[in-house]
Amino acid sequence: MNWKFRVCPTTGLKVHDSAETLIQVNAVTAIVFLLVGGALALLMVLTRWQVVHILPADYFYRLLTLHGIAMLVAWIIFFEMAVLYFASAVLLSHRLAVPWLAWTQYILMLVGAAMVTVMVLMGKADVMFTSYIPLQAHHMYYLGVILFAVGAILGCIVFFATVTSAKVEGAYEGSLSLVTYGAAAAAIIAILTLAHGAIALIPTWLWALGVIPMMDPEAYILMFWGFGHSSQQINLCAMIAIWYLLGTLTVGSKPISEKYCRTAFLFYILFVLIPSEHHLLVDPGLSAAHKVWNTGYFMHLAILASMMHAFSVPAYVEVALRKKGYTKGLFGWLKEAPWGNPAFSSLVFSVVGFGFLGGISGVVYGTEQINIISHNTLRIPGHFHATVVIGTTMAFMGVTYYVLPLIFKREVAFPTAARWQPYIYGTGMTIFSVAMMFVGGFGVPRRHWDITAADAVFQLNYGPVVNIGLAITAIGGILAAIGGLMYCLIAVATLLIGKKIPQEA
Amino acid sequence: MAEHNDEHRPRGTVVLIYIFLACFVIFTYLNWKQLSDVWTVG
Repeated sequence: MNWKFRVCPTTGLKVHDSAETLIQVNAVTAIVFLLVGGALALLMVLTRWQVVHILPADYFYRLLTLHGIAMLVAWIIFFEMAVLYFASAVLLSHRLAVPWLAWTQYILMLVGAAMVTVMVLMGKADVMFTSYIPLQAHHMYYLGVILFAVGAILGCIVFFATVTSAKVEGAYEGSLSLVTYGAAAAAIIAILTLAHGAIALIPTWLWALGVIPMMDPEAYILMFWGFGHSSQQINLCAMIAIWYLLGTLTVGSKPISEKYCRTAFLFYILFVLIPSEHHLLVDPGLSAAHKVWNTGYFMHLAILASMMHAFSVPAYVEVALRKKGYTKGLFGWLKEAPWGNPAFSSLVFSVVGFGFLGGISGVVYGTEQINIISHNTLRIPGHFHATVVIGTTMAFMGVTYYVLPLIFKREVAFPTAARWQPYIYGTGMTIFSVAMMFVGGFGVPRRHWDITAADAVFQLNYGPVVNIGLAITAIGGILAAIGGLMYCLIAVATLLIGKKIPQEA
Repeated sequence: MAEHNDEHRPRGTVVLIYIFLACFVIFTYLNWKQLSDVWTVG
């Protein structure tokens, strides 16, 4: 067989044409969903800002459902498919195995995401992201989620097939590169996660069709979070693989100890599914002893892996910069770092936001006792916006500034705006997340249209501090929306008017 | 680590780790303090 490759003039990587096209379509689709989810996010913050309160109740819950799906599922998993193909075919300079299966992945995920979006917009799936039983959506909604998940599994199969054929055909020798190894860990977790999704959602689909008369809410919630939270661990692995990639691309660093980093990825595979149960900490279905063991002991084995990476990434960036001669004092290297490179600043925001804001808050809120007072408050969205948005999304944004020239063969448009974009987005999201956690500390509920409970018998008054906190949350959210819009516009402008980079076949 | 000379050791990162741990301790303390205020024993 004759496979069509080109050689990237900057990196020297061989890029298979099928891999390139599939990375392009998955990445562009991801960015479209980011744009949709970002627009909805703006409506969310302008509704939670009690003074503005822009949406009526029904639209708030409907669009919040769609915001969660567009951002947490569609944007991230479409982009992860692009990452899997990049980490296998491109980084191993090998052909993408079974391209037709990869196209099936894309079509299934696109059809699934479209079905879910239409059902939610039609008002037939006002069940929020979690769709807890006994809330019931239209059966086409669940079918859409199932098709999306099946597509994602196919993407993982294509990834493993590509890595295997690269090994068999001698594209690489010895161990996988660390980035591909991290992507492999993400793909393994993805398969475990999607199996949980199938167990949770296929019976729910049959229940919505009337084939199954009833569902057990406790069994559903257990399996759903094996899917819903673990899918965030796929993001986590993909994000950390990108951290290592960005470290290499931006400052030329190499991991101080590959064994150390690989062990941390192994910890994720072994232990990362366990913390999913922290979503059940206020549920009566599990015993207190089970909860304490889960969140007091086992969960920390996965956290240990995150802390290992969070130490490793800055350390190897520091060593690389020191080797370049920036050895003055403790932080001379940090002063001389390439802060004008949007990929580097995105990396720093991602590591710091994930570790300091998302990581610390996650460990504390995931403790059984603390969870009792934080579970249904704004503290939790404050926590996961730090992990998934500042952490994962900013890592994905950062790598985009390298994917655009490498895969789309165009120079990044509006380079000055690109330099500012991570700062605007990262600062906005930091304000947003911290303010959310702050007002959550006063008991402000999450997923709630009107915290004053205006039409209820008993009215609630959280006081002026909370009102100011919600206003600051909204201001942070608006700033982040501007940064997110800048990212989308830069990406789209690069595709449409970016200067073409000459290639050799 | 053996191949690095002293100038190349990630000393700044070690300080950042201690700052991280300090934040961890403070955040944990504040949350347990709040819990003890709203959920008194006895």
